[in-house]
Amino acid sequence: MRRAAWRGANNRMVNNKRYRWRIVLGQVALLLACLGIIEYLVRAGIVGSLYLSKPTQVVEEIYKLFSNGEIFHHLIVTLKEFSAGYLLSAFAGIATGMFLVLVPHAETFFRPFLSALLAVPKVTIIPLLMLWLGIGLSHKVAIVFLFCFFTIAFNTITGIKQTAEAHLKVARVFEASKLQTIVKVILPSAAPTIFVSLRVSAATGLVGALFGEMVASKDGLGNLLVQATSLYDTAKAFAIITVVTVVSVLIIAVIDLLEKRVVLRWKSA
Amino acid sequence: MLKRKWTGSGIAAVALALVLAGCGNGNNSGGAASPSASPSASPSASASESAPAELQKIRYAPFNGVSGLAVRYGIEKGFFKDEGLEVELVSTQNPIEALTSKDVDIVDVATTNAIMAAGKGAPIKIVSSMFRTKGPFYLVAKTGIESVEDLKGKTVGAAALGSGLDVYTQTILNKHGLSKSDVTYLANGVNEAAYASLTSGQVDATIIHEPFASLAEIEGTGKILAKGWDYLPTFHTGILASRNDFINDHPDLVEKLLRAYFKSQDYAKSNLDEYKEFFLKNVKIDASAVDKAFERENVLWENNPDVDLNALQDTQQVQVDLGFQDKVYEVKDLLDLRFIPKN
Repeated sequence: MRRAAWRGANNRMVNNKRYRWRIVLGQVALLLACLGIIEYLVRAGIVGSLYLSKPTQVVEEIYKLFSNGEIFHHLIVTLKEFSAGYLLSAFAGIATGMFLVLVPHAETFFRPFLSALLAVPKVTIIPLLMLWLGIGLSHKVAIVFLFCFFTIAFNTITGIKQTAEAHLKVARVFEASKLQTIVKVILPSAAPTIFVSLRVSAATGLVGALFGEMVASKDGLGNLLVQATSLYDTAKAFAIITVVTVVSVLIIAVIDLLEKRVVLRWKSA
Repeated sequence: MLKRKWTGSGIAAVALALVLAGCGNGNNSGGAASPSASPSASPSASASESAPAELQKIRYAPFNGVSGLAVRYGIEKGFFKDEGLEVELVSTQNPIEALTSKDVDIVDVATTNAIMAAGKGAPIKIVSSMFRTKGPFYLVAKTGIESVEDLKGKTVGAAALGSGLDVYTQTILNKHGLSKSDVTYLANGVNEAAYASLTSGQVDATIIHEPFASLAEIEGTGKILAKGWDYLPTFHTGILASRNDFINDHPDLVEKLLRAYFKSQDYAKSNLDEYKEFFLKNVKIDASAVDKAFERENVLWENNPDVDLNALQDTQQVQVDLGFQDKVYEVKDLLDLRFIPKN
């Protein structure tokens, strides 16, 4: 009883506008403190500039990357590779998950193969992918696909299996067709689980695209990163890493928005 | 309700556009196109847009980092354009795979990798030596260790196991009466990673490239115990290789690239102050360490494109002795040295 009351008070406090501002201010202060410590460590020579860069220098590098326009071409290349591989893996992953659960015996038959493919260490086959697909777009798309597909497929399976039996019974009572049951009952039930995997895969997929570019490429953020690290340009490397992180956060935000604006409304409808 | 539908359609349209954008226009995005879509040697559509029509496109993968910097300098100076070439630089950690995938026309590659790949049937040929062919590697120990013999019972980093750096480390140890089993032998990475492992005390000695050997001396964190090329003077470390089909179809481009490559190297070497300025603009490392490294490695900067068959034989024998290669391959069939610049 006392715990519930405490939780309620806590929730009210969190929802309080003034309290939210305090949290944001605290977060900013923590971030600035961390950056300040790094700045001091590098300036004082406690950590070599070969290994860590001053945050002020990283900001300068980010400014340079954007002001001379160098980054835009590379960013577009990486985003193209990521978006193609990611959307392909999302469609294929969801379709595979649905197929395995909804087609009788399909999961029993295919699961060992899928599990084995999941277990293949992907980084070890990337040089082989180069031999099969070259070093262009298809190589990167395949890597992103490999990084994303299994997470999405397995989460779709789990999500579909979590559909409440009562909802399926209601669908049967109303003589819903198979397609109606899938679209109106099964997929909306599985949507939250599928979106968890889409969110996780978005970050890993972007890493996949970068990784592919670092292995072999003509352009892209991974290519830029290799150039920076191989010339010991730590500040530029951190600047690129910062850009990638921001892009990753933005992609996840887009997925959140998609979930909120489309899927949750569809589910409630 | 209508607004909701529009929101959904909008997001779906954006998603579809992203897929189409990603799938289309592959030639100038993620990298190389299929050979048929972008004939490497003929002026392609994209090449003709970005370069004068007379320039012929060639896709070249130099070594990343400082080893490939003189070529980038040569490109900046216009030596490749003077030969009628538009060079598309490709970055790769796997030059042989990149070459055989046909998305690259010519590569810098470790001699041993090229011999083993070509010996096992990869359709490639060695077309020239690189600007230097002897291992620019140093065994650097932390201060207090005065000789290679002192490393007995200590931890030694060999950079990457199975690589040329490993060959040099083992050879240096062997020539001082030690073997791998007399030390704790481990892979500690290359360049800054190897240097960090030394300065943080994770290893007592490491094999390393310049400018880190000089940096260790300047910062007082290490001492050079051995220079690699003193121990393996005939071990061949770097060549340029091309695909058989590219050589057959475009021998002129191979010849032009080699000419521009060595012109870049010669110019950089003979205009060292000017090149150093370019070098320091790109490489963020202590200038005094760079000076020292240039001075020390001047002797290795031979700019000799010839490939010494005896050196290749010795190189393979060392590899076989250390168990890195299954047999000595007949190298004559793996070479095509017709394009080496004559003067």
